Amino acid sequence: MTTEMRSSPTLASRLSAFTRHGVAVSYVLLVVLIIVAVILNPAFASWANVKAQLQIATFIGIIAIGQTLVILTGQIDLSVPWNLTFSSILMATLYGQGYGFGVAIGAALLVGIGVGLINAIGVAVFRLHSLVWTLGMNALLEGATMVYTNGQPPDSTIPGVVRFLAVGNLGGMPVSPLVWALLAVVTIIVLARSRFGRFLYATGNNEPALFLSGVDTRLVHVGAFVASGVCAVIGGILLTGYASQTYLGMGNDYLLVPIAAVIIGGTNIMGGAGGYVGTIAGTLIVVLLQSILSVAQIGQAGKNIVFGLIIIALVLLYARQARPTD
Amino acid sequence: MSSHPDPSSHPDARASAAAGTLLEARGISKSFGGVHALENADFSCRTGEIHALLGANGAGKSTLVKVLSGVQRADAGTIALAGETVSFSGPADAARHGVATVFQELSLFPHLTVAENILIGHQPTGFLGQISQRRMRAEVRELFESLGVDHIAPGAHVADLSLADRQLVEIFKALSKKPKLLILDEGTSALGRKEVQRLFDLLRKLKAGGTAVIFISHRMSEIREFVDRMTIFRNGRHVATVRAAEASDGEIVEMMLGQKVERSFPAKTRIETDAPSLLELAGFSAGSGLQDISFALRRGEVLGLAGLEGQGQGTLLLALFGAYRGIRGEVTISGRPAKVATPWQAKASGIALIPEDRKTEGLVLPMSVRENITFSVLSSLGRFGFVNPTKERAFVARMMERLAVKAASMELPARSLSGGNQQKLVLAKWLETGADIFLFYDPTRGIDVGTKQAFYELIVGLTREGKGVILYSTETSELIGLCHRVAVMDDGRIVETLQGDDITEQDILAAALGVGRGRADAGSELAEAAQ
Amino acid sequence: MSLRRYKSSLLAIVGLALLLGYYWYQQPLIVSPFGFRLLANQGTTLALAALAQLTVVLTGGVDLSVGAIVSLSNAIAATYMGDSPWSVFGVVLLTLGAGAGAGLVNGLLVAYGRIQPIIVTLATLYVYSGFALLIRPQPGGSVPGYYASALTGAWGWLPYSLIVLLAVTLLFRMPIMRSRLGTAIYAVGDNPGGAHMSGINVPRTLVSAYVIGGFLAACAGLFLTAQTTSGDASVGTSYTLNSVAAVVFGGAILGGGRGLALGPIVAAFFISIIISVLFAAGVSSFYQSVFQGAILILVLMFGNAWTLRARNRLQVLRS
Repeated sequence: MTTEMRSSPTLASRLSAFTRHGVAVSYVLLVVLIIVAVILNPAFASWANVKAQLQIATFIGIIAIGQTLVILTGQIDLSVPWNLTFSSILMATLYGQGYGFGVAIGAALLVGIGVGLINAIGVAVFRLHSLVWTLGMNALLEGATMVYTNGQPPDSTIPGVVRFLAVGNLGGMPVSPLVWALLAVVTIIVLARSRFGRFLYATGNNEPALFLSGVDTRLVHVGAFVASGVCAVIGGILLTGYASQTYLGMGNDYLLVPIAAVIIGGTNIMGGAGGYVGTIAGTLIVVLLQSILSVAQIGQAGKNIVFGLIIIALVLLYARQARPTD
Repeated sequence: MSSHPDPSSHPDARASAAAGTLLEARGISKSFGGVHALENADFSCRTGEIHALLGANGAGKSTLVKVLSGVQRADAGTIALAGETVSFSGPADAARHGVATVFQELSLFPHLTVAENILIGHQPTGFLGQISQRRMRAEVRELFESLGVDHIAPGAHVADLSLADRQLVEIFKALSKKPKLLILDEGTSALGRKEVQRLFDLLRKLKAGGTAVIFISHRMSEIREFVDRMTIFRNGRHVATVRAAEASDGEIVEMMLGQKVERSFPAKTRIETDAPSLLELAGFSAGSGLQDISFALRRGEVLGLAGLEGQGQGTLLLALFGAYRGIRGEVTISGRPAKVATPWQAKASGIALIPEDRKTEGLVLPMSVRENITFSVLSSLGRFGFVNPTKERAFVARMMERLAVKAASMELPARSLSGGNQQKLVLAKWLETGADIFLFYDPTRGIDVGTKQAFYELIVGLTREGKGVILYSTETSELIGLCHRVAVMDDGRIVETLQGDDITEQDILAAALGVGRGRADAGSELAEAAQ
Repeated sequence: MSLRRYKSSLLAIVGLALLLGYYWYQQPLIVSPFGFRLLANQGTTLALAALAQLTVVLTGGVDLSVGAIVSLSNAIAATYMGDSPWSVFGVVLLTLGAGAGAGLVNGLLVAYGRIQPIIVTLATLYVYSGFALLIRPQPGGSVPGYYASALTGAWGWLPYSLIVLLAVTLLFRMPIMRSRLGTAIYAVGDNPGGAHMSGINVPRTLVSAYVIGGFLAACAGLFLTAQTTSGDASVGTSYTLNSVAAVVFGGAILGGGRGLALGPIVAAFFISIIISVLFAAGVSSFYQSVFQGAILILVLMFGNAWTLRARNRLQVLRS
C-alpha cells in the first residue's frame, strides 16, 4: 500500500489483508468499547462482571464458530435456533428418563450432525440457496420439537457434567469460557493450517475453480454445515446448564446475534474472506454492547434500535464493498 | 515507416487535411494502487475512419477504453471531442456525447430480451412512462435490417443466444445510441471469420456515414485488412500510429513488444510408432453434445481439437475431466479401464485440465499465488489433513521457478498477476499431481505473444517427458505448429483426423465445413466462401 | 410465447391448485362466499409482503426487514388511526410513508453505503422492530370497524382483499415494472456491472427498489391491521422468512434478475392456506409446523431436482 512496505511484500500484503478484513479494526473497537464501558461504570472491570460477560459470550462465541465456517463458504445457517432447542430438550429429556449423560449428550450431538448433513445436502447437491433451505430445516425442527414435547415446556433434570461445564469453576476460572477458548484455538488452527480450512475459503470465493482442481466441494459444504450443527448443539447444551432448564424457543436469541458477531468481526457475508480471530472480537463487542445497553436501562425498544444502528455504523466503517468500477 | 519508430514524433503529422480529428486524448495517466496502467498517453482518431488500437497485455488498451468511455476517470490528461474538451461523469454521459462502447466483458443482461438489451435506458415510452414493446421491437428490427441481420429475434432472451450472436447484440446495443465514436474492445473474440467479415462490412457502412470506430483486438492479422490506421501502445504509452498498409505484421509485433520476437513453434517431440497409448476412448458420449468419440492418445503426443467454435471440443475436455454426468463409453488409461465420472476421479486417473476461463474456472483470484498453486496437491504437502507451511512454500517456489512465474511474492493475490502468469499458475497446480494426460482448453487466449511462446515450450516440454496432451485452440496456427494429429469436430462428433503434413489451414477448414479433404483447391475455395 | 413467461410460476400454481382441491374435498364449505373471503384474507398479507420481497430480490438483494416493516406499520396504524375518516386517511398515508421511508433507509445504505443487503436489512430489522416496540410496547390499540371491513369484507363472492391485492399489483407495481425503472431493476439484478456500463444509474435503481419494497411491506402491515384490528410489535416477524420462501417457491431467483409477480403471490396463498388445510385435515397442531417445514423443503427439492439430472456439473455449480 505504501512505499516503505514495498520492501517486504509478504508483510505488506498480510497487513493490508488484516485491515481490509476488518479484523484489526474490530479489535480496536473492542478496546474502545471496553474503555467506554469502564469509564461509564468502573464496576465493569470487576472480575465478577468479566466472568459474567465471558459466560454469556461463550454461547454466542461457540455458535458463531459454526456460523463463521458456513459464512466463509458463502452460505448461512438459519437452522440454529430450533436445532439448538430440539437437541437440548432431547438431551435433558433422555437424561430425565434415566439414560446416562453420555447417551443423552451423544443423541444431542447426533441431531446436530444430522441437521448439518441435511443442510449440506440441500446446498451442495440440490444447489438450493441456504437462506431458504436452512430456514425450512428450522421450521421442520420447530415442528419436531413441538411433536416431541407436545408443546409443553419439558420437565427435566440436567446432567451434573453439563452443569459443571456451563457454570462450574476450575481453580477460580469459570469452565465454560475455557471450553470456548479450547474450541476457538482449534477453529483458528483449522482455518489457518488445514486443508479443510483452505478449501472453505476457496469454496466461498470460487467454487467452480476448486471443483475443477479436482476437489469434491460437496464435502466442504458438509464439513461447514456439520460443524455449525454441532456448534449449535454444544452452545445449546451449555445454555441448558447455565439456565438449569430447557424451554421452547430457547434458541430464538441465538440466530441473529452470532451472525452479527461474525459480520462485525470482519468476515465477508458473501464468503471467502475473514476468519474466527475476528469473530471473537465481534462476539465480545456484541456482548459488551448488549450489556452496556442493559446497564443504561433504555428498554428493549431502545436496545434494538441502538444495536441495529451500531451494526450499521461498524459495517460502514470497515466492511463496505468496492465500487463497481474499481 | 522506420523499423524503430520514435515515440516523440507526432503520430498525426501525416494526417490528411480532408478528415478532421474527432477525438484527441492528450497526456492521459491512470494508475491503480501504484501501478501505472497509462502514463502520459496520447491517442487521436478522425471522423470516418476505422482505427485499430494494438498492444500486448498490460499495454493499457483496456484502461484507455474505460477512460474514453467514461467508466473510469483519468488521473491526468485531457480529452477533446470534436475540438471541445470533455470530462465524462459516467458511461451514460459519454453516450450523450456520442461515444458508445462495446466492452470486453459482455455487458448484456441474459434474462432480458434482445430488444430490451439493445435499447436499455432509452426504450420508447408512452403514457405514464410505460414502455411500448411494439415500438421497441420495431426499432430493433429496423436497426437489424439496416445492417442485414435477420437471424436474431428481438423477443428472444439473450441467455438463449450463441456467444457470437450475443456479441452482435452487444454491438447493436452500442449502435442504437447512434454514436459519433464507436469503440469495440475485443469485439470479435467470439466471432467466426464469417461474422468478423460481416461485422466489418457493417463498420464500413458506419464509417461512410462519418462515424469513427476504434477497434481493439488480439487477432491482429485478422483485422489488419479492414482497418485504416493502427495505433500501438506499450507499457501504458503511445508508441506509434501507422497506416494499416504500411507496416508488416513483424514490425507491428516488434513495436508491441519493444523487441524483435520470432513467433515460432518448438520442434514437435518425435513419437515412436510403437509408443504405448496413454488414453483410449471408445464410444465416448455425453448426451447430444458429444457423440461416439473414439481415439487413442499416445505418450508424447499432442492431439489437437479443431472445428468451428462450439462443436463439442469444450464438452469433450470437460467430460474427460469428469465435469459431465451421464457419460457413456469406455475410457482406458495406460491399458487399464478408468473411471472419470467426477473431477476427483479424473485427477486420480492422472488427468489434468487447464480450463477455458482462467479467471472464473482456473483460479481463485482473491487468494494468493501460493494457495492457487497447491489446491490440487495439498494432501501431499502435509499430514492428517494439515498443511506443512515449509513444504508448501518450497513446493510453490519450485513451481514458480520451473514455469518462470513473474510475481513479486507468492503471497500476492492471483488477481494481481498478468494474464499469462495467471495461466501459468493454472498449469502449475497440475504439474506434480502425477498427471499424465493434460487437457488444454484454448490456453493462450488473451495472453501476449511472449507468454504464448513460453506456453508452446511448456506444452512440448510435457510431451518430452512422455505425457500426452489434448489441445483445443481457436488459433489454427497453434494446432498446426504443435499437434501431431488434429481431430476436427462437428456437431459433437469427430469428423476427420488429420496427420502430419495434412494439418493445414485449408484441410482443417474443409473438414470443419464437412467437405472431404485432399483437394487443396477445394479447400481454398471454401476458405473464400467462408469469408 | 407469452405463456412461457409464466413457466417459473407453474410449480406454485400447481401446488395451490392441488392444495385447494384437497381443501375442498375436506371442507366443501370453502366454496362459498364466506369461504372465499376467508381464503382470500388468509393469503393477502403474505402476498403483499412477498411482492415487497420480490422487488428487492429482483435487484439481487434480500430484505430481512420486511417483517419488521410489517410490524412497524401495524403498530403505527393500530395506535394512531382513531375513528374519523380523516384520521384514518391520514394515518394510512403516514403508515405508507413510514414504510417507504424505511425502504429508503435500506436502499440508501445498500446503494450509497455499499453494504451487503443482507447485513443492512439484518441491522434495520432491529431498528424498525425497535421503533415498533417504542410505539406499541404492549399489544393493543384498535382500528375502526369500517376500516377493517373495507379491507377484509366481501361483495357477494368477491372478497375485498382480492380487489386490494389486484389494485396494488396492477395499478401500483405493474406500471412501475413496465417503465424504464422496471427494466433497470431487472437489469441491475441480472448483471450489475453491465448495468453500470450500460449507463443505468445503479444506485438510484437500487434505492427505488427498496422504497417500493418498503411501501409494499407497509401495505401488508395495513392489511394485517384490518385483519387483527389491533397492534402488536412482533406480529410481522414470520413475514420476513415466509416472504422469502414465497418468492423462491414462486420461481424468482435469489441473486436477482428473474421472477414475476404471479408466482410469489400464488405461493404466498399456498403457504398461508396450508395451515388451515392441515387443521381441517385433523392434523394435530403440533404436527403443523412439521408439515409446513417438510412441504417447504420438499417443494424446494422438487423445484431444483434438475440439478440431479443436469449433465454439466459446472453449470449446476454456477447456478
